[in-house]
Amino acid sequence: MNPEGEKRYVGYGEALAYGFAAGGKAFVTTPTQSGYLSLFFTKVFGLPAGSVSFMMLLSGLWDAINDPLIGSLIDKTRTGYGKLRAWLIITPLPFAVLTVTLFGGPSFLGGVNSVGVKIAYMYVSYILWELCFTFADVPFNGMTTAVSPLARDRTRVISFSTFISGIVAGAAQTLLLSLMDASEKGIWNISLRTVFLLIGVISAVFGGGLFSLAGIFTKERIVQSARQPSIIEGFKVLIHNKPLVLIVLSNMLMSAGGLYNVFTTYYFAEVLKLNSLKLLIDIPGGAVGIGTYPFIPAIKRKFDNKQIMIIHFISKAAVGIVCFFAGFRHYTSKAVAVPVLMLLNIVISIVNTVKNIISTEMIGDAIDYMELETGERNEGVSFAVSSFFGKLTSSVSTSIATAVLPRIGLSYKTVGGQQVSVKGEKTDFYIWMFYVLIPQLVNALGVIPYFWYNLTGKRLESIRAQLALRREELLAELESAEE
Amino acid sequence: MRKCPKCEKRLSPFYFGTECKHCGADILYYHFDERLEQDAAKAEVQEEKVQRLLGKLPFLRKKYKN
Ligand SMILES: [Zn+2]
Repeated sequence: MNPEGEKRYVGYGEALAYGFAAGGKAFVTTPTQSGYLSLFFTKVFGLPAGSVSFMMLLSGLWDAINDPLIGSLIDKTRTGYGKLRAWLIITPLPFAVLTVTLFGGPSFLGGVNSVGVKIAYMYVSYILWELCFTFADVPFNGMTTAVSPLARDRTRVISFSTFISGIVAGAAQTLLLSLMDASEKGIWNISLRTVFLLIGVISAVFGGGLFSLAGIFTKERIVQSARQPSIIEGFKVLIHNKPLVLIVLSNMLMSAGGLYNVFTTYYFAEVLKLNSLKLLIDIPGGAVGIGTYPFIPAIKRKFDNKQIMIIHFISKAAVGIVCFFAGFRHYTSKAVAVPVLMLLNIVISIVNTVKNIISTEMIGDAIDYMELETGERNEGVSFAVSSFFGKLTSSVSTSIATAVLPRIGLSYKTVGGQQVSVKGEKTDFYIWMFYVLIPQLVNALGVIPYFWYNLTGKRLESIRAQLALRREELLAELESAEE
Repeated sequence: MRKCPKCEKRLSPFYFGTECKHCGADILYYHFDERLEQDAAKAEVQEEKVQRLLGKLPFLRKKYKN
């Protein structure tokens, strides 16, 4: 028998089911990431780039209203399965259908030439898809806290899900890219239109199937208030949830690191002029990242969540500075850049693995804290709002990065029908700086909100103990009402 | 198969009400604590199985040997 301190409610089976469901979600969302999605709408569906980017902008704005609204609707839900699991049972089927509808568009509208009809199809299929995704994604994330009142259960569930979804997302991306290459290079006689229909069907069946495991096998183990919080209340609570506001603020400062992704792409394309080298550099980082998982329980025993976040900020900034100077005069030399970037990648991959788990866990702590203050839990609104701000800042930082390019002297002109890059004298150096140094320093600004963050140590323990008592009282009330 | 925790009669997986159609018990919270303990027992059995499995791997033997 385990001592009481080792008690768990969530077994390996349930944690694995949740992890594979996360893998399913990762599979479906890979082709909907902004890069692929805009390629799909423009190149495959044949829509003008302007109307595609306008639709993306509109849908981003719509999310600002839509996401918190869906979150509070989820918070109001009370069923025999709980408030989150019910959505995980309902959504997989429509989600699968909508995924095929989205990516099958060019095939289904094969004979249609009207751009207006195609644009209408894009709006309807994408917005419905996004809507359904939010109804699936928010309860799915909320489940990381509702699955158990115990921190060690939550840590394991989150670890399994980030681990499996990382691997599945890589596989999905490889599949997508190789199918696209096979089609475009004539290796397989299949049109891009059919490639995306195929991707839609595989995502729906394989990804949607895996995702449905969450609804079937996971359980909610936290008593929710009988009273259903109104939508307005959900928002009010959110503003008063100081730890959550701090976490979201820090995430926003961090995601200014979105610069990193953009400049990674440009560094390999324009400075080293070898895109596939990035795959090589990712290998050791990926392996070490996976190797980090078994150490997470030990790391958690040694440091609290706030300390881990601070270590993450410092390590990234430090490795950024070291690597920046290590390649200071040699950023165009592959012999220097490859090992230096591998080191950068390894360190970032280790700290990100830990950080991603911890930051989901801290949102759970913030929801617990608010339950103690108000008697109500807001998994829906909290996860919806944090994911909305995540999406918002990453798109803002991507567009900032794109705007920086001409300022550092990088532009494109068409020569003989081909896009050719034009660089200034110091352009390569600036790309190196914006890739290796700046994102890591900007990321470190995310440490600031943590100076006010206090859900740690004794305080967190006492919150958890008081909540356990409170929930027992709630249960006793429920049981006595039943007699 | 989904059953009511109190009267153990069958419930459709697509029934989303909070109370059992047959006896009116609260499906989610009926004897919640006891059911949590059952989950804990089940989790522990799985835990031991996995630990035993990990103990068979040579490179982990030291860590998980009891
Ligand atoms: Zn019953």
